[in-house]
Amino acid sequence: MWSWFFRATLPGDVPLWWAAAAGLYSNKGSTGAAIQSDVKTVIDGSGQFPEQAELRLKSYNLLSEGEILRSGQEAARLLPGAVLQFSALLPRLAHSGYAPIHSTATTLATPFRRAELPPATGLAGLPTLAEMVADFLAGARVPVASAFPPPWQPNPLLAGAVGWLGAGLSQLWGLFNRPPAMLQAPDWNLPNWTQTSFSGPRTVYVEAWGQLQLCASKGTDDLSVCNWWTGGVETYTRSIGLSDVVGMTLKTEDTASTGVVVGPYGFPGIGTYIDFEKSDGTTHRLLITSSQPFGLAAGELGFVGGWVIGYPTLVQVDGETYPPPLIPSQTPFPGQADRLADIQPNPEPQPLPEIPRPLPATVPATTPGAVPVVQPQPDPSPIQPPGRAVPPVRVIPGQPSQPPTPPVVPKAPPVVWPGTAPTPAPAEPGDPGGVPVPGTPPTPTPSTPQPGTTPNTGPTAPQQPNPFVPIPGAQPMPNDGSAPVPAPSPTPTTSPDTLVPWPGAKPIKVDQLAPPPTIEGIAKKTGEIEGKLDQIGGMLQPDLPDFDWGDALQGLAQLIGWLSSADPAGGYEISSPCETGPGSSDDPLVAEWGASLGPNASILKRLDAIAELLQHHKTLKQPSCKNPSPTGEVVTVQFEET
Amino acid sequence: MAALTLANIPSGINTYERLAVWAIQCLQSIANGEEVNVVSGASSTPLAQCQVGVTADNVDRYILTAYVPLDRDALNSGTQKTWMAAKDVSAAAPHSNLLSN
Repeated sequence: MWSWFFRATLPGDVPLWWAAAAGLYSNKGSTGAAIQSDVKTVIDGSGQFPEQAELRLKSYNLLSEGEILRSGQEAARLLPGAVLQFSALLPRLAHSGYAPIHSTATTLATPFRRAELPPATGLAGLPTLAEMVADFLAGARVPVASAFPPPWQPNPLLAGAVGWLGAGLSQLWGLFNRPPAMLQAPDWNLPNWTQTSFSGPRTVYVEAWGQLQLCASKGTDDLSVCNWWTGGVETYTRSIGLSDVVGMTLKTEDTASTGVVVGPYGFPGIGTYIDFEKSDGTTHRLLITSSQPFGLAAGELGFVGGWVIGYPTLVQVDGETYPPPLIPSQTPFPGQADRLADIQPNPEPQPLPEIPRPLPATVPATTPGAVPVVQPQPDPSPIQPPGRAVPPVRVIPGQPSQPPTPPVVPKAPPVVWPGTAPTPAPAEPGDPGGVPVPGTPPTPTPSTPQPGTTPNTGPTAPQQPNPFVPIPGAQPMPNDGSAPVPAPSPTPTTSPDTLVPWPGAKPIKVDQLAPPPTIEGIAKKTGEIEGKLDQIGGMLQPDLPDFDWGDALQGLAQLIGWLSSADPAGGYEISSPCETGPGSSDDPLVAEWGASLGPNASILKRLDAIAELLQHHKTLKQPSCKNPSPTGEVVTVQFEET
Repeated sequence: MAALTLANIPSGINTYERLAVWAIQCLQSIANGEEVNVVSGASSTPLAQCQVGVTADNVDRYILTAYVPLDRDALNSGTQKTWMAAKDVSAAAPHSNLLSN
């Protein structure tokens, strides 16, 4: 089934059904009549009357490019006023065997403008079925042979009914078949789309149907990792999202002659694939294969956005919300790697196997002792990756040999278009609207190895931006094989089943580092801790220093001096000559102080005693000066009053 | 194609262990920094590298790591040895220091 598209910008007075008829009629002169002519309306964002229609024609017969182009010319004649943009990559027929799709793009920038209006009939002899249908549809009121428009005026009632019907159908089409809001990348409009690259990483949405498989690999010849396999020819539709795509390449391999196998499940003779180069250097390959002989369809790939190649649907997505990614992240790591064939020792004496190319004389050519002998396998079966079931073999008549049919991969979840059932999908950094693909984050592009045979003798330091360090402290060696500089001193590593309480101590062997959450486990751990503490206590016993007699004498002298500074108790006495009782010279008042050690204490106590003495001094009578004693004889003097 | 001339193997290599270390060093040299995405979602690692380190048993060891491409068809061959399935990594020759004793 080959198909090609015409995108027509219709004038407003041309109904859709007429466009469909025109598309069907346009193919009447080709070797294979079109069996289907669909009109796919292109509805603008407002949902108003479509201004563009996409004519999709299908035919079981392979058509040459010239026939397709002539079909477009006929469509242009039948749709005056419409600007047709023809875009198709036409599959070409291989002369035998399978049909490797040779894709060549034919794009006419200004292809079919308004043309002269020759009679639509007469281009061929007898009318074909398509012509009769077209005449039936269009010829009731407007003779096909007449020049038209000017203006086509059908029955107003019929035109109104047809218009309403067309509008309703268009709405239904848009409701049920609304494609995602597609953005067609400008750099995608290449006349010959065999290889293109984007200005930056893009997210490409791929919708494909047919017998397809998507393989992720590095390079183009290592396709050991394939994510999915449709397993069918015409009934499966796969939708995938590829992010960070920087370029695409459409390739065709005539595998029958070149022997190049484009995929692990690729059938010989079919070799059309698209390599999506991602920013991290990896390549995702969309492989179109078919187990069907020529005459039936291979994979169909087509651009929904208006560009058609053999047949996948590639939609450039930028800034739009799209269904979640459907690519399962399948890589051989981590996980179990493929296991090589078992080599079982044979106890029977066997002759040593012959080595076709022996090593130099410096290397012993034989190994002493028993030599394991590889058991011959009468029916060696290919080593299958773990988890990959061996698929049944589909036998195709007429084909001498067939590779194994790919395994049945779990079917991807159905595509949910935006607006119908939005599924939240985490956006990738830097690509808010893109389709994140798990497991394929952008990684730095690895450096390209230096080609050629020039010895790598340069002093350039080896490129090891991200060395894989299997153990702590591992040091990568330079490319020249010299010792790593500086050579690290080996650091003893603690065994995982021992504990070192402190640096330099003996490791304590424990059964398990973490005690079990039981009383016994806790008690055991507590015992270990106590044992450690005992060891720590033993290690912390202070060593007594040597006895220093000088320090001892010095201490003794300090003790003696301290003792000699003792001040005994005492007191101050004070008396007054005016007193005859207490305070007299016979019974003086006393201000006493107690005994003390050290000069400071004795001074303080004496000061207190002096204060008391001052009080005693105030208490005592103050003496005065004694009058001189009278001298002479005592006389008696009498005074008489006169 | 990284062709190997057997005569270029240093004559001092007289054990399989030394041969293995020498081979990895040569592979690291010819890979010239090429990396391999080993684990999905993780950063890439060198295709081949020779490192030295001390393992938990307190033994200095060489750590040889290589991710050599494999031809699965050749691996399943009934006539060829399994090591013949190794694919080329680079066309460069190893460092000259590796080609002498």
